[in-house]
Order: sequence, then structure tokens, then C-alpha cells
Amino acid sequence: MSAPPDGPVGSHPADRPGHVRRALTVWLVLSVIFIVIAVALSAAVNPTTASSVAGFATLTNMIFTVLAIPVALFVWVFVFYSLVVFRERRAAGASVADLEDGPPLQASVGVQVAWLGITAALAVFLIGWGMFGFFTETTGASSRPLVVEVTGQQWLWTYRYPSLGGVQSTTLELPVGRPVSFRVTSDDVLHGFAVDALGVLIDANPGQWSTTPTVTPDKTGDFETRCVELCGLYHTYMWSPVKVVSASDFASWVSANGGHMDATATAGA
Amino acid sequence: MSARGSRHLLGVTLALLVAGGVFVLLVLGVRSLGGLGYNPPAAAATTGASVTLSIYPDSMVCHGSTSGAPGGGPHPEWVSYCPSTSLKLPAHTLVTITVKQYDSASGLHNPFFDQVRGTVGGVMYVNGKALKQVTLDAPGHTFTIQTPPDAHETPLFVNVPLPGVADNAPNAVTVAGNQYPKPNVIVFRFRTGAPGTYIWHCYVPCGTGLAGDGLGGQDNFGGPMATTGYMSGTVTVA
Repeated sequence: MSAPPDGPVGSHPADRPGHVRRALTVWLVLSVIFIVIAVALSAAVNPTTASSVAGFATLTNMIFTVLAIPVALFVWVFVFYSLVVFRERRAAGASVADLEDGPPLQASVGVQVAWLGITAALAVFLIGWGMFGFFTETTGASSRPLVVEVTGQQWLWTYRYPSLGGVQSTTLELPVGRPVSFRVTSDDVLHGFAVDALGVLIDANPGQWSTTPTVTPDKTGDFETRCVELCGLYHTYMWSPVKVVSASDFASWVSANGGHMDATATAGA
Repeated sequence: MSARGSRHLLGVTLALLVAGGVFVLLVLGVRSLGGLGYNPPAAAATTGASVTLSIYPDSMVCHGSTSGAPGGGPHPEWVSYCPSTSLKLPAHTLVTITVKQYDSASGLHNPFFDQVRGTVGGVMYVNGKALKQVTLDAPGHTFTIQTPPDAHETPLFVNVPLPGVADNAPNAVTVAGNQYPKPNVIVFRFRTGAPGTYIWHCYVPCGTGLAGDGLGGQDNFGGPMATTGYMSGTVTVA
């Protein structure tokens, strides 16, 4: 390595030892801080969960965030550390042409193996985690869920319960503890049907029916659907209430809307 | 000033210009949200506990030339509500809406909207006759009010399918120099809730273009169906 133009050999910060240790220390401290912040904010930024699917989605979001923080910080810390510490400074009156390249990078087998090994392990974990989530959502699903037909139209959701005498509503009413599957379509343009509390998200395509995996509401309460695909002038108005109620309240609501309970519900499924 | 100083000054000036442009665009974008789109140029908000609206098969009456004379409007072939799509209604009040429907039937795609919902008694009066529901192919348009997302405690949902006149009905009336068939007169009442801004919309695909046959034949949701001031607007409850 050549000497910096503004001093003797060894006076430049790059020539001093301990850079890796210092950068790793900064990276470790920042990682711990940001992970603590992410975990602490998780409850505030994630939606209320009212199904195991939504709970798994929230957990996945948090785990992926916790894993991503040290990876992202590793890159950023070393980039900014290098920019600050190894920045070549020009002496007074010197021109850019007076600057010389720094020392060439040397390959390190250990660093390369560690980098590839850690990223490969992370990728395999993420794939495995996703497949595990998909497995739990599909294999344990009820074979006879309550089917709700959802139609999106600028700018309103309408719900139809074909097995309950064709009850129709602009409010999504669901019984707690009963598996539900949504068949979703659109009458005009692309919409996006999302119930955050249930972990449901699917496109509503005009002229096509899409079906969600089965989801079971496990908590009574008031929630919301929203359109998550920009669909026109009043896209922001395209929401509807979701009410998860007890089985008896649901039966009363169905009856009040001119329908009747199906055999599956009567059997206590 | 040195060459280096000039470059710095130029850079700062350009950065300020770009930042100012971005700021102006942001302000214009946010302000456009407040108006929720285009309205007829000369129409004031229709106000009161009793409102009369008309639906024409074109936009000659309310969207004519800016001089006030019919014709020459921006989209004379578009169907339109008149005299305004901005309605102002008193809060917690029983209001009466009268709609003169001059247009013919187009039919609904979504059967949810063929039933009268949210009105007093769940009925509308079509030429004096009480009806709770019409066939799927009968409506020329609907008048449907829905609740904004921030009004969970006072939901307001009103849907009235408005039967169209016969396709072969002869022109019998003249409005602002334009010939139309004798309209169906539909009257309905509903009680408003808390103050707020609601939206209303026609749910009969009575517009032009948009989806096309390639997407399940869901056509005619564009044009006046996708532009405020024609088949959609706001209801301000105050």
C-alpha cells in the first residue's frame, strides 16, 4: 500500500489494526438495539389476530424481521464504516490525480465460507418455515367449511352465504370456532380482499372465482375488510365491517336475514 | 466566484427546484382528494331534507357547454345524474329522495343490488307503486349510499334499484331542449345518521369500456362509472 499524500506510512486510519473488531462491535450493538425495538413495536404495528393463520402470519413477520436486521446491518455497518474510516483525504492543494488506489482486496476463504454458509442456512430456514406454515394451513383444514362468496365491485364488498339460504349482506358476519373459506370474485376491476385479523388476503379478479385456504376465527369481536388493490376513485371507501360472533348469535343473524342454518352447523361442526 | 463555487450554487439551485416541484405536486395531490373528483360545472350542491334528482341517458342537460347552453359538453354520450352529484342532507333526519329516471334498463351483474335496502319500510315507490325488489335486468341504475371507513358507529347503507323506462318508449318530454321519454318517478325515504361525508354510486354497469370481454365480459364500468360527477358523488350529512 502506498502512503497517503498527507502523512507518513502508518498514519492513515486504514493502516491501524482492529477495524474488523470495531466494526463487528458496532454491528452487534446496533443489531441488539434494533431487534429489541422491532420486538417491542411488534404488538403496536401488527394487526389484531383472530385466527391461527393470522397469528402465524404475525409471528412469521416478526421472525423474518429479527433475522433480517443483522443481515441488513452487517452490510450497512461495513459500508458506512469503510466510507468514514477508509476515506482517502486530499492534502491541501492536491488534485484528484494525486490520489492513489488503496490496497487490493484479499480473498479470505473463511469469510466466503461463512457468508455463503450463513446466507444459505437462512434461506433454507425461510423456505422451511413457509412450507411448515402452508402445511399447517392446508392439511388440517376442514373438509366442510362455511363457504362465503365475496363479490367486489367499485366500491363495495357484498357477501353471500350459499349454504345458508343465500343470505346476502354488506357486513361479513362469521361464527367463532367454525372453519370458513372465501370464494372471491369481482364484477368490474381488480380488487384485493383482505381481512387482516383473520390472515386472509386474496385477489378479486373479474370473471374468475378464487378460493382462500380455510381459516377458523378463534376470537369474537369487530374487525374490518379492506380492498388492498387500488381500484378507482373511491378505493379508500371500499371496506366493510367484520363481526365474529357466537354460534347462537350467528344463527340469529342468519334467521333475521331470511336464511337458515345448514346441516354442518346444526351438527355442531 | 470560483468554478467550484458556481457548481455548488447550481447544484443547490437545482435541488431546491426539484424539491419545490415535488412539494407542489404533493400539495396538488392532497388537495384533489378533498374534492373527490369532478362535478358538473354549474351545479351547486343539492341541499335539504327533500331532494330531486334526474338520470339522463346522456350528459346534455348538466354537462353541456360552459355557457349554459346544452350540447357540446365534454362527454355528451355519458349517462348522468342531475342537477348535482354533491348532495347535502341534514343529520338525524328523515329525508325524501325523488329520482326521475329517463334512461332505459341495463341490468345488474351483482344480484345483491336488486333489492331495496336501508329505506323506510325497505320499499321504494315506482310511479306510486310500492316495490321491495326488482328483477335483475330491470334497473337502469341504482342509487346506493355507503359508509366511509371512519363512521363505524353510524353505518348508513341505502340501495335503491331504479327501473329503466322501456327501450322503445317514445320521447315525450323536453328538458333544456333535449327530448327524453316520460320518466319513471321513484320516491324513497331514509333516515340520516351522524354528520359525515358519505359516498353514493350507481351499481349498474352503465358506463363505457374498461374491462372488455377478455375478463369475463365485465364491461361498461368505465367512463361515467369511473368519474365523479356522473354516476357517483358525495353525500354530506351535516
